[in-house]
Amino acid sequence: MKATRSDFPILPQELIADILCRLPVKSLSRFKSVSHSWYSLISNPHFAQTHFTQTTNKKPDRLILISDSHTLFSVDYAADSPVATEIHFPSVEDESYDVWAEILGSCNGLVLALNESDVAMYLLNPSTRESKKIPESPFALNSVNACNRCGLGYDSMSDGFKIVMLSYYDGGVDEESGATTETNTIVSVYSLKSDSWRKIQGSSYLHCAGDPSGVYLNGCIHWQALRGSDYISVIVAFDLGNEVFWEFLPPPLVTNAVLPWFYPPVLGGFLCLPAYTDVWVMKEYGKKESWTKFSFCKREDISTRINLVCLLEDGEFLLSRDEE
Amino acid sequence: MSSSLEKNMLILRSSDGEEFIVPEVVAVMSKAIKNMVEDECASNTIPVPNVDANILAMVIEFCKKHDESEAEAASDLKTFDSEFVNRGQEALYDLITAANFRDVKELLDALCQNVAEMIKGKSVHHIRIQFLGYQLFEILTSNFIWNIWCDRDFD
Repeated sequence: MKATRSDFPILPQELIADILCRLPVKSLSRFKSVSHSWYSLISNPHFAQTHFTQTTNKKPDRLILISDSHTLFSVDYAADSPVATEIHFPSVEDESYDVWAEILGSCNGLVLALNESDVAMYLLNPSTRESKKIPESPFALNSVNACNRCGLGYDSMSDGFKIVMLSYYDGGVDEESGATTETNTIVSVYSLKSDSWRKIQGSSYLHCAGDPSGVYLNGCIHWQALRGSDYISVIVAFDLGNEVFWEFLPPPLVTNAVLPWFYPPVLGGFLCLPAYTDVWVMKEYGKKESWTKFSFCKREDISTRINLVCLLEDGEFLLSRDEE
Repeated sequence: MSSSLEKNMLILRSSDGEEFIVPEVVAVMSKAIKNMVEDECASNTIPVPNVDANILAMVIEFCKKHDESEAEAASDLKTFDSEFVNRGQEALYDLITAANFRDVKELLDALCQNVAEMIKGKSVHHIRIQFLGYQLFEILTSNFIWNIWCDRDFD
């Protein structure tokens, strides 16, 4: 390497930040070791937030899928000829543990997945291949006795990621002890910052229907559930900032029917519900009047249920359907 | 000279004393100059300290192009931008400093993007030597652990 000029212009810190903000995560994690000032700049949560908003102004262009062989795949569908590439996580303790049962949620580029080997939840970053094992919630009930629901989301108020675990159990009389238990849902929240679980006030909804993995949008995690008072099917949102539940109604006519639950339901920032050959899109978040129906196919020979995969450019949807 | 100056034209004087006659619409793409013009604290001749004639000419070229091509296709402008910023390191840093100091947002955007592209695939070692050459002293005296990435090249 040639000797450098001694009068090299010193770039002000805000310009360095501006430049680093445009770099991919891969480069950033490497550049943390350039110098003290770069390290503290890149590690700064405010920088991470700016970087995230800047890079996600683009549409998401990657799908994370689990194959039949329980390997995670990444598909860059914005490419001309999309190819699925395997993603492995070298940081998962044991190599034989790099097998995955289910994706439980995703938010801001992070994926929450259930590991097949040790049946633990892991928080995965497919960009940096970093992984973190999430400790088991001490408040969650055994899945034999309870219905467990979870979800991953980002809370801008505390500026951190949170995982929510709902353990719903049916009330009744215990045959041995004769003690009666009431139907209830235990709610526990994990914060990535403190790396710990916390029990909060329970939910009054019956969290026994629909897909177990919650869906993150607008600072809230959403599940399908039944309202405790009248058993009406609703969409329950858990506000991560205030840690409270609120609800809104699913589209008309879909109420009380078995909801073909979203998979994955957030497309281009809208909440979507596929209903056989139609898709309902909630155009204004939280307003039940804004559910709008889109019919995908008029062809009568297609009777199998369709699933939404993602939103492409020009408002096109990518769909999948079950083959008989 | 200033008496014969057409309306809506300004004179910019570089740090080494050279004068450039530019339309006001072009000059005010620099926020710093815009503020001076709006506050009416500028006579027809505006000094641009810290920026030499060479760099000032480049900045003016960039601003002129962006002013003219408002109606032009965005892709053409993009091509111009990427060609414009494709310069030696020295000129690049001088331009960044000028664009930052004079607050020319579009130019600064294009330049920062270019530097980001340049350093994206570089190794840590490379960045330290080339990009932070002046800071080597700081790095060497810091107790930061040089990790194994230092000697690896990412291209």
